[in-house]
Amino acid sequence: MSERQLSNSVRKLRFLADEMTQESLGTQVGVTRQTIAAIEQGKYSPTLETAFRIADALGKDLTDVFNWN
Amino acid sequence: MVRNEQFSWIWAITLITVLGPYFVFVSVIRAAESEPTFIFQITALATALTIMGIVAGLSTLISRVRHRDHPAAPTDERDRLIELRSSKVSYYILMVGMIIVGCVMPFDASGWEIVNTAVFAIAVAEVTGCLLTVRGYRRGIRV
Repeated sequence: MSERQLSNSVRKLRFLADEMTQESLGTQVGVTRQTIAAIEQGKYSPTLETAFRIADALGKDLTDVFNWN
Repeated sequence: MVRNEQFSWIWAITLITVLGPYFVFVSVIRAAESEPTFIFQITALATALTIMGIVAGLSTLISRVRHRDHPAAPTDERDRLIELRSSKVSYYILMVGMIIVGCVMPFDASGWEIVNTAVFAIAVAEVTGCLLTVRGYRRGIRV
């Protein structure tokens, strides 16, 4: 079993995107603010579709937002 | 704290605090090898279930009043995954309990033993489900 883990830069990219709030990102993506918070804290790995939606909302590619390392 | 987590806390605490003393009471009576009357048993069980119903109703009412600006609790993929995981475990526990109650106990147990075991299985399944829901929200959940 691989020791690699999914990590993300959602929090950093959110602030770079004109300090977008979790609520605003959640609304654009179609999830709750709590889910965005859980993703940022690494407590929840989103589905592929939601991951693409987050990247799209932040104006980045999927691999810029989510990392497998 | 999201509404699902709140409900899970309230429901788990209610089940433990109401049905816990009931089962302790039943165990003490059984240990003393005395058989309480039917009326006594049914009153004790009905009282416990009524208290749980009142607490559930009140907590729903309070939550609706507090969140009246957002009447429908929003749910997303994370909520559904947590619900799915906790209800799956809860379901298996309930099935084991029901198999014991329905297939094993009828051969050598009295009516009230079967009833109490069934209620105990339901309570354990519910509490486990609630605690897994809380754990899912607190500690996170992975696909």
